[in-house]
Amino acid sequence: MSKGALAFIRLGLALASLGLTGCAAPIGRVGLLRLAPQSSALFQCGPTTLAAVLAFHGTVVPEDIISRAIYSPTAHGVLLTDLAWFARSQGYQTELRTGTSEDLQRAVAAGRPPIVLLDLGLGAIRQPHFTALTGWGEEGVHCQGTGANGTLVAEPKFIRQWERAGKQYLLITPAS
Amino acid sequence: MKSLASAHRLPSWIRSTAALLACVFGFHALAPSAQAGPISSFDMLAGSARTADLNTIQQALEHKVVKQRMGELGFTAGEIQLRLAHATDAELHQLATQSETMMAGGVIGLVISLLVIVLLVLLVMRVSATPVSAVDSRIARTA
Repeated sequence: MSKGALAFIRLGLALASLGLTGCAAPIGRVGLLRLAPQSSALFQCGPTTLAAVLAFHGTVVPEDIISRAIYSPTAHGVLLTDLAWFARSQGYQTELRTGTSEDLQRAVAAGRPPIVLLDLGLGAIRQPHFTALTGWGEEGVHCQGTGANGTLVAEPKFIRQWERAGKQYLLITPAS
Repeated sequence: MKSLASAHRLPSWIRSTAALLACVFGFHALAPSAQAGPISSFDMLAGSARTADLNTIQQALEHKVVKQRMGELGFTAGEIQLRLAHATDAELHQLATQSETMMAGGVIGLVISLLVIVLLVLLVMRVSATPVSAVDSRIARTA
């Protein structure tokens, strides 16, 4: 083998070792997580979503107890921080963040259904709604819904609704 | 002249090593030197006190922004106090930076949306229900 070829191979190995050819692999389809369906009671999407996520992690708390603790009748709803506080009161660790769709996919892939705030409204009309993600794939984004199989939302629509609400999500993790 | 002649007789590896060392020291001489040294305790405390003051001011402002926004959303004073007490510093910061998108999750917006749609439909029906003869008579009077 000539000296030039040998030098070329050495250079290639050196560059490869520097990780210049490495890149993050796409997350791909994320498997479905099973969450209890949401209650259809008015203004209760937050408590019902939190109840389902806590139950997913092994803590069963009735929705009405959560609602009595954090629901505001005058504001007709709850805040993400309310859900975080209640989860901490049950002994869980919480992380409230602003992120990207990749963050959500990673959370689902890690078995941690993120609770997201969506704005289902149009234009100046706001329609806030809480839900938890149970899967992400080419067919769309799987969200907790009122049915047993949840709701499938097209990814562009989900991203738009999530961005309107500030791209926030709440991760709940059992304390180690 | 004699030294130059003797240099040519040195082995090549010595010459190349010498050239490399000369280059290295040359770059070292050209590179700006960083000054490092101990600072007085007074300067250190003054810097950390300023940082602490700035953090306090930032938290107070965030508190105010979040409190105002919660009031706009309909939370009572007692509910606001409770929420501010329960929120972590990071959550308070998050609420403050996201104050414009802060919403209490529920379906109240759906109710408002339906009301707006109903009102629009009623308005359209009212406008379209205006009889043609009444319009013609108004035009005739003004002609």
